[in-house]
Amino acid sequence: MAEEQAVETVLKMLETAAEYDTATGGFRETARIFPQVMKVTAAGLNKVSEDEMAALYEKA
Amino acid sequence: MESCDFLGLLKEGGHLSAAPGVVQEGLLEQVEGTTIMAVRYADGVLVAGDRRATMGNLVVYDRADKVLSIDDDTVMAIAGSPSVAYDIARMLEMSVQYYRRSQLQRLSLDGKLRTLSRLLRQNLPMAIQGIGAVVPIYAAYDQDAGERRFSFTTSWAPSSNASISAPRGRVRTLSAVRSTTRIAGARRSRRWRRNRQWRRCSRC
Repeated sequence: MAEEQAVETVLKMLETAAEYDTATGGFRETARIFPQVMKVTAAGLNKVSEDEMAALYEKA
Repeated sequence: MESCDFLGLLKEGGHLSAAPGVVQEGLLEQVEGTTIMAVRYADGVLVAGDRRATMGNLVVYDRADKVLSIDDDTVMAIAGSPSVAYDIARMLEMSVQYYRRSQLQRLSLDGKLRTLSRLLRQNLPMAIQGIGAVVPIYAAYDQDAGERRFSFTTSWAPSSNASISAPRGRVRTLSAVRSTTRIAGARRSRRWRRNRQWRRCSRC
C-alpha cells in the first residue's frame, strides 16, 4: 500500500469510528482539529502536519 | 485446568465472584472509547489516533495527543486512562534515554518492549480495579528486521508480531527464579559472604 493510500485509509477508518463511537472525536476543520498520524519509516519518525491534513480533508 | 491465564484461573476457582465490584466480566476488554490504530504500508508503519479525551459522557478535551514519540524510531499510541498512559510513556522515554546515556549505546527493541511490559504489569492492580487500565500500541522501525508493530494487553507482554505468549512466559520466569534461589541457598558465593561480614562489621 502506498503512503497516500495508507493515510487516506487510516483517516477514513477514524471517521467511521468517530461516527459510531461517541468517545472518538472526528475532524473539525473550523477549529482545526485533525487526527494525529505519524509515519514510522527507515528514515525515522514523521508527523503528518496540520496543513497537510487540512489539504487532505479539503480534497476528500 | 482449562485456562492458561491468571484471571481465567481465578474465574475457574470461583475467586472472582468472591470480591464483587472489584473485577467484573469484560472489564479489562472494555477500557475507553478511544480509537488508535497502526497500519503497515510500503515504507513502514502508520500510527494514527483521534484527539478526543472523555470522562464518562463528557468530552473533557478535544486536542489530546494520543500518538506519542518515544525516541527516534518508535511511537506509542495510547488508549485508556490518560494520566497513567502519559506517565507510562514518560517513564518509557526516560528509561530509553537513561540507557543510552549510561551504557553509551541504544536500547534494543526487545529491551524497549520489555520495559513497556514491566510498566504495564506494574499498573495491573489499577487496571483490575477498573480505574487505570492502559492499552497501548507500540510501533517501531527496526533497522534489521524492518517495521514492527506490537499491541499490548492491560497487563503484560506484547502480541501481534511478537512470538512470546504472556502466561507461558510468566510461568517459566517463576520457575527460573525458584531454581536460582535453590542453588544460591545451597552454597553462597565468597563475595556474598564477604559482603555480609562487612555489613555486620559496619553495623557494630
